[in-house]
Amino acid sequence: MISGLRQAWESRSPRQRAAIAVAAAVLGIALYAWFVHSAGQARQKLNASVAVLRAQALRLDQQALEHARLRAAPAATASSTDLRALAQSRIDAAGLSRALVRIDALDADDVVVVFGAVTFADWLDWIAGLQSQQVRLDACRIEALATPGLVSVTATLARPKSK
Amino acid sequence: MSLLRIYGSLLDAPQRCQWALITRGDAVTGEGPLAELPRGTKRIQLVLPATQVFITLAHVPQKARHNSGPTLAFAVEERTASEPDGNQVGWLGTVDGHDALAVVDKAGLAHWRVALGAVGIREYEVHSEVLLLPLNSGEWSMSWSGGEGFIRTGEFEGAAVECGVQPAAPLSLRLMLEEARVRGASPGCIAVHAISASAAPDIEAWTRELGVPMRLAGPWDWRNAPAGAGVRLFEERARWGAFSGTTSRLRPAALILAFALAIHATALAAGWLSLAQEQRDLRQRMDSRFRATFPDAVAVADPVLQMRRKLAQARHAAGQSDRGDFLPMIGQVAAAVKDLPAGDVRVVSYESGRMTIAFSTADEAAMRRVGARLVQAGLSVDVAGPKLITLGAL
Repeated sequence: MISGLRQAWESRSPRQRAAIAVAAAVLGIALYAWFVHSAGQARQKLNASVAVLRAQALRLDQQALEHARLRAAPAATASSTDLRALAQSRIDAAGLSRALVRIDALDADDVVVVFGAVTFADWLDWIAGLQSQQVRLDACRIEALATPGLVSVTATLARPKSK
Repeated sequence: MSLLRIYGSLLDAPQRCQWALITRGDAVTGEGPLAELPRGTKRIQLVLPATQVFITLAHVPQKARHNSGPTLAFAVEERTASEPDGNQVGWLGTVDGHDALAVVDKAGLAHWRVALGAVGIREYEVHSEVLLLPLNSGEWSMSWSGGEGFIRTGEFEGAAVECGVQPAAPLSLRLMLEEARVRGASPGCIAVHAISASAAPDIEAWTRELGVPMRLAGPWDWRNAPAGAGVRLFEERARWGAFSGTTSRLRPAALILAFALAIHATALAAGWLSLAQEQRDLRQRMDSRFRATFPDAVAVADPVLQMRRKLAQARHAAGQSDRGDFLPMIGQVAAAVKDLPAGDVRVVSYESGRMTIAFSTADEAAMRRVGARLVQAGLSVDVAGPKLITLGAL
């Protein structure tokens, strides 16, 4: 095969050989440039991905440790009062009764509270107060009203299920 | 493709020559000064007379075959009368394990190179008229002018045949046949191309004398040989003045460059492979860590997200706040949107650690700014449009 190629090469005229050599060199350079460009891009993407993975792995380790610590700690004791009653009492205490549209108890540990027009800051304080009672905001939808500072809110509150 | 054949003797001053211009099988012939040679031909051959090319067999190193340097000249030193430096030797091919070499006078070729270069011909092939003769399988082929001639005895073999004493066959032809008989390579027939009817030998007498059948073939002349006939002895290439020798000078640099590029490519590939391996290892490590923490997990599709949810559950069970809770998240949102016009935040929805904020005005720059602040605060942010941002805890 090599001798065949050599024969084919030698049967070309010098000009043809020069043209073939130049074309081969240009093709080689183009292929190498393409390779370097593609490899560079792939490496850049991979580098970024590995950096994110390193951070995630580190965070995962820390979270696993924290999870083990939390599992070992005694569970928080939630108030045994009916959640609907608790929410109502906190609404009254915060002076939000006028804005309250309704409270629906889904079960003993989940209630939906709807406010028509409530001051956002007051509602936020009310939520913070509930959190200190181990009641958490599970879901909500807050819509701004035309009057600045006033919002309408539909919120689902939840408390850790008693075991 | 057109071919210009120039018939030139190495013994004469190269000023005039006979020539033939062959285009699509038709030959136009002429004779005159070199300056009047036809121009514009793609291929040019300098055809040397049979007596000025000595073809012989020898053994040469394989590397030396493809150059006409001194190695070849020394390989045939014992077979030539002149000094090796005075000969230019070209490798033709192999015959029964031997190398067929063509030997010509170097000085004569140099004169032609200068003369042809002076008329603008710098690239041409050098041929022997012997090897232009047609050759049938099992036959030898001879050109005969009546008093002298030349014979082609193989693809790469042939020689001039000296004057015979008419009507006797030439002595050198007899010796060639003797040698062929010893080698067991006698021809089945010898085809004789006489240059004219009057030059034809007495075929029957020669056949009896030589013991080999002979036949009269048609007339033959180097001018009419097909364009593809012959074996190239040498090739003269254009020399580019100041650039002459540049290729060989640049070869070490080219080799170093190729070596450096190869190392570069290898390093790139190795770096990429190493990163890919690290990526696999990290994924595997996270997967194992999650499984070790939660051995009863049914499937681990995204250990990062799954761990995040499990940790949030554990925090809530312990009565602790989580970064994905509403209050810490809304605090970060409030800080991020503080420079937006009042009332621009229209709706905030929150569920299972994901918060969606809808804005009343579409301001992409403001959205990007808010998004960047939330990312800085350690939240995952997805700007879903000019009026919508979704975020969650990392």
